Amino acid sequence: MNDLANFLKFSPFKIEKKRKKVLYQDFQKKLTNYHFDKCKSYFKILNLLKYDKNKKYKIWDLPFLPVRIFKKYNLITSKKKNIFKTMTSSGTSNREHSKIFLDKENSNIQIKVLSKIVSNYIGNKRLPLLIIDSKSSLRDKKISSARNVAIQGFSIFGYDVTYALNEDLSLNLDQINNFYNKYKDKDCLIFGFTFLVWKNFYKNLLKSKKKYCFKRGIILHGGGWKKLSELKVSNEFFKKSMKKELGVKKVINYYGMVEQTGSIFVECEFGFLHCSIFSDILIRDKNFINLGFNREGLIQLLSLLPTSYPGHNILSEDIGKIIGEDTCKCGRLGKYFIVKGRVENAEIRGCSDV
Amino acid sequence: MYKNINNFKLIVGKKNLNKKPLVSFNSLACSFLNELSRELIKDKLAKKYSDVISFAFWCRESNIKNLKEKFYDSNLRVGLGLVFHITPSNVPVNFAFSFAFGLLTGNANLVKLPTQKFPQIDIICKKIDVVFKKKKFKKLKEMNCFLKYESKNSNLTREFSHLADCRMIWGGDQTIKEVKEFETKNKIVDISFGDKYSFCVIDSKSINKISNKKMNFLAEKFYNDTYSMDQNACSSPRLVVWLGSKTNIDKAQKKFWFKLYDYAKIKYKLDEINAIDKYEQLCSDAIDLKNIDKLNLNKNLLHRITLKTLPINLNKLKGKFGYFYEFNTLDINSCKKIINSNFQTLTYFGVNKEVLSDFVTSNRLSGIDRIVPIGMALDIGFLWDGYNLDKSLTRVIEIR
Repeated sequence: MNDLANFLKFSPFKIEKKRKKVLYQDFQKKLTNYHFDKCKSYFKILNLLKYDKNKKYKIWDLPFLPVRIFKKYNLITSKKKNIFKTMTSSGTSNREHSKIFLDKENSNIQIKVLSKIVSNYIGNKRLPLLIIDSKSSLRDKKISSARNVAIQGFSIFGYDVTYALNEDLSLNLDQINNFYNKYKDKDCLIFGFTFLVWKNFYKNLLKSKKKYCFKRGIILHGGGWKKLSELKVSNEFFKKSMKKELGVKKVINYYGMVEQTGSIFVECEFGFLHCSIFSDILIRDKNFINLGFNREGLIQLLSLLPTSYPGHNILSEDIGKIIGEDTCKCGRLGKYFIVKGRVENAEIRGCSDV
Repeated sequence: MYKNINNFKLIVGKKNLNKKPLVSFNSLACSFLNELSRELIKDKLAKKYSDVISFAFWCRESNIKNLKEKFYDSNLRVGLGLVFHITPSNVPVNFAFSFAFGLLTGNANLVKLPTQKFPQIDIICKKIDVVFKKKKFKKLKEMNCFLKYESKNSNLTREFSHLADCRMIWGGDQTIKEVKEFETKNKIVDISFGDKYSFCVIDSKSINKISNKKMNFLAEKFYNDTYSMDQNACSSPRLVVWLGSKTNIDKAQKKFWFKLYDYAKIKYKLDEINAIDKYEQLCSDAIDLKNIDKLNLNKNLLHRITLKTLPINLNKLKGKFGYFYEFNTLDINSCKKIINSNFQTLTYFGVNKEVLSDFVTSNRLSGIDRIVPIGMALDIGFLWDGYNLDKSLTRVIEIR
């Protein structure tokens, strides 16, 4: 997929909607055809949906996969022998995990794009990095959970990488204090999974009555609000609590799926998640009708990155709302949106199960 | 009586049960149900729930009398003793029927209620309590207990299984397997209702002949068999077999599904998650099935997958929330290969019921326990899953 090389030359938030629409639609169509030709299961699904390779489609008419399908089937586009890494979703709440198959090329692209997007928020300079996780979570290289992938991915933004948690995910105060003493007055980055940052880091710091003031620190976190919304912790409250306890100047949330690692959506200073030129979002109602802007519905995510597996166009189980396109006060071009949470699990009638 | 007495919540009845059996269809049990029926029918809240009302109608005097007449043979029948009812968690009124079966046949009943909160359960339990409080039903009250506890609390299920003379095990293969592990009396009677598959046969010519008004009525009945229970009851059809020539079937399908869609559009509340479930099923079917002829989608409300052939493991194909498999054929006998002991209800329209019973007997089929017209799929009664429950729940005393 040569087009991606071209896309990498662009700044990730500088293409306005008219031009993006043309470029993006064309690229998504090519990707769809690419997977259609090379992934057997994907072909079968699109075939049943009467997809026509030669027809022109609007971006919202291109077929998408339900995200759960990656839990049930091994969907691979690239040759099996080229797969060098399998990623799994880290969700502890689900029994089944998504499985994402990566070849070297796809994996490299993910890292490159991640770096382009994140550096737009935190700058190009490498920063001292405190990871809210344990070092041991990184051992197995063949199979990586989304958590590991994120840690590995974000590690490229840092140096003097320090792990804040022990193997049992308890606080490693020695390491934290060490890091704090070195960097309390300097630019630094604290990264972790939202739930770990809250439960294992923040909550335990509160208990241990430690207080820090990373004056120029940034907290970057992501990976699901499901557990936090169960605890009734909102994004705002999370931010406020972090700033109070750790004295950081910025708390940045990102949204993304293991099925589309790399092309993540990062929250701007006005609280909106932003699409880059590598990603796009659509909102659909329960009949999968495209709702456009300012209406709540199911989030569909499109990415230009997936080549070794057909994850370029998926329907998530999250609910959200697009706020606008190219008009955010932060100056980034592209659609910007908010995520409201997961779609509600309705009670099913029927006679199974006691 | 129980070791784990504090681990469950008593809803109605007595904790310490009198397990001594009564004569089946004794007048006390019959009049209890009559009074319960009256209480329910006059209740304003109950009117909102069609399933509560249909239970109330089942309990009314004339129906019980009818059942009593059918029940009698020359032998004396009494209850088995204590019946332990393990009711399904997601069908609100099933527990009430299960209880009524046990009560009428002369048994003491220990009913494990669904832990999910259904207003129907509260309504019925409240009324049962009201009737139990009448002095003349004191004897019955002492024989019945309705309780709630989490299914994972298997110690209780173990203990109740140990005490029971009979277990009514609703709720699928997995539950049955777990419950059967527990030690029981040697002579225990287990009546288990496993995972079932149900389907529907429609004669296309007959559809093409009926008036629009009749078609509307039929669509409503089919809706009640399926959508009203998210198409997830064991007796809701998942497959529709169409009989007739291609032209007749095409015409009939258009007429039938169009009306059904029209009706479901107004009546059925499809949630986002159901739409996703259906879409995921569709994608899975695309990957797994080799014999799909075509796909028809009416928004996300009605999905139809036409199959070229019927796979042997058809009972794996379980559409929900309005997701139907279809098969077109000239002769019902072309379906005989797929029928196994998991098949329960066959609903029909335009087909002679003798033809269908002949289909079961002449092909010596091990499944299909019910052959009923469209609209009656969910009508539960003493005949269910191939059991004659009024007989199964009794002890026969031979007197010569």
